[in-house]
Amino acid sequence: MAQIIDFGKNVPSSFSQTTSFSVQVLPNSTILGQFGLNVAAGGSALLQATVGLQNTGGTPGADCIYTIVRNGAAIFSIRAGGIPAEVFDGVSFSYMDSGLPAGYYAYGLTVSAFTGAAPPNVVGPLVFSGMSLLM
Amino acid sequence: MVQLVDFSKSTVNSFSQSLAVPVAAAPSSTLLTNFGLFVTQGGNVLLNATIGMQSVGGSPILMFILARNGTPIFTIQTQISSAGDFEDVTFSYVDTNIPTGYYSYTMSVSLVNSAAVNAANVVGPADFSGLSMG
Repeated sequence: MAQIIDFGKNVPSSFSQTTSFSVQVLPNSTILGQFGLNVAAGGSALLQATVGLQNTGGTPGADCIYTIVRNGAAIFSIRAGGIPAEVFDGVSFSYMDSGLPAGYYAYGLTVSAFTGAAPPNVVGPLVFSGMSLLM
Repeated sequence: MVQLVDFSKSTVNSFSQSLAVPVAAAPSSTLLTNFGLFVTQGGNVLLNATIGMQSVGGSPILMFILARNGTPIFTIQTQISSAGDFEDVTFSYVDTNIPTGYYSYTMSVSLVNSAAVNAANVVGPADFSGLSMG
């Protein structure tokens, strides 16, 4: 029987338009969330993230690259297309991290906008969670 | 209490722009990932998928297909608006009413509008995971 070992989350904002901060342009990045998670030897961590965005800067909107880091090292990235001026967008993704030695890990989520176009604002919600699993 | 029976995953690649796999046009499809999962009678299987896509021509309409032992159980379509655009595709599904057994879950993608003017690549990541609960 499989077991849930631990659950970590960082939910700074649950509703749309409850926060507003700009996404930094590469090579800088904006931290969206972080939490600690206990992982067993040979275990896995199911990571999920949801971010609400709005382009308040103009057209074209910049593409954004989202990166999940574990103890500071990138383990996952995904690039999402830019959005036109004043348009809202919800971005979600999930990733199962696995093959880890036992330990307590810091998981973080960051986003960077590509150069040459208007970076979006994070307007909420902002949800980042991890479930640690073991067979 | 609900218990976690099994979990599994299959990751092709975990970073953006780490691969470039062309999407086959319907009626063909491109198999992305598959894994095996043990399921108990009356249980629920929570499936999560995330795929990084890019249009490499036109405004491709993509159909993502989840299948259990080769039978489609879920489809979703998305369109990438213009050539060169990147798209984050994520979806989840809860599979239910399955007899006890070990099943193969697969995720594939197919281009459903004209392949003459539309094309898309899977550029990474491509992650597919399942949680079996009973």
